[in-house]
Amino acid sequence: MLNESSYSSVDDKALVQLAQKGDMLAFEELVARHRDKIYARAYSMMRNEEEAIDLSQEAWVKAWQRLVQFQGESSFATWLTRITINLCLDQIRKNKRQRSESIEEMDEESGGVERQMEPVTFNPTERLERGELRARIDEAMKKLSHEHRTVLVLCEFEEMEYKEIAKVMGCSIGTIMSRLFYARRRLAALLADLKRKDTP
Amino acid sequence: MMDQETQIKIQAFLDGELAENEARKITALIARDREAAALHAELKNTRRALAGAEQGITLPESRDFYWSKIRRQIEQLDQSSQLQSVPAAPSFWESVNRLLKPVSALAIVVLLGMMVFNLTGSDSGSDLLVASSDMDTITFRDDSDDTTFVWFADKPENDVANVGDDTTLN
Repeated sequence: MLNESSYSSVDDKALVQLAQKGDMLAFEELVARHRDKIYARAYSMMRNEEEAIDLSQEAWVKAWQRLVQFQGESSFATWLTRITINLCLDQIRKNKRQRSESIEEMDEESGGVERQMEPVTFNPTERLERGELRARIDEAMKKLSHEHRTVLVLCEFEEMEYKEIAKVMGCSIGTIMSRLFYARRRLAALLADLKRKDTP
Repeated sequence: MMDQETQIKIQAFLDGELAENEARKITALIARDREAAALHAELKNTRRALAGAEQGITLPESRDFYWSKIRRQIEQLDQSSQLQSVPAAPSFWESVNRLLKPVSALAIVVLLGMMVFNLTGSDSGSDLLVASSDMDTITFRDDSDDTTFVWFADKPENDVANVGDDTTLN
């Protein structure tokens, strides 16, 4: 056991080792360090503040329960992020079972009109301030279906390969490529559309 | 208009998912075809826009409040797992039942023993009398002499027969 103040100066690896022996203060320090990242990942996938808080907390509880299984093959943050992603995917599946599939979703699966859409020339990173861009992405992401948003999050934020995403989401690589293509094109269109709306 | 396969390949090229020879073909296509180049640029811009988009997302709860909920859940789980691992104290009836089982078994063994003991008839000098309903039969056994006597007598068929005449031997 360390002094309460000295936990902040210890690296993740040592904190994990202490937590594996039941040191709750070490685990609390890990929560303090990674809580924003874990919440952000849950929020990116769910786009719902309350759900993201609940799921990220559930991820921490699961991590505590499975801490003895963590062998350090990846970083603690990566391991925890994967737990969070799996919990979010489970929740998305539950939510999907509760609502019937809409015509719009079926259209999204096949690619919809975006496949035939002319390429968008608007470059959001050149034309918008960072904060503004973030807010617009947030708005645009909310308009994507869970499936398209998830594939985008796993590819862009988690930097997972197609085959990894396919495994996690339980579908074929072809479906992943198709969903990803649709999600990116729709996002580009939404960002461009938002820009047009704002232009006087 | 590009076909779907080419569109998907341009995306896979951007994500570094294409094999080397396929990647070369797509590079050449982007260089010579305006539509392919425009699609590539759009996908690239979207990727760039998304980079770091998560950085601005922060937890809308204080550290202590967020942690307190996690700790509470962990403590609840620990308590319930401890309760599962410690066997519950037996109730009064369970205790009585546990005590009665061996006593009952012992009683059954004793009873069986007594029955077997009685049937084998180890009692010397005892008489065993058996009466048949078809005909009057009386058996006498003397264990001390190791002899058995059997009397057979005609059963009276009607009132005419002599009642109480048990002197007839067959």
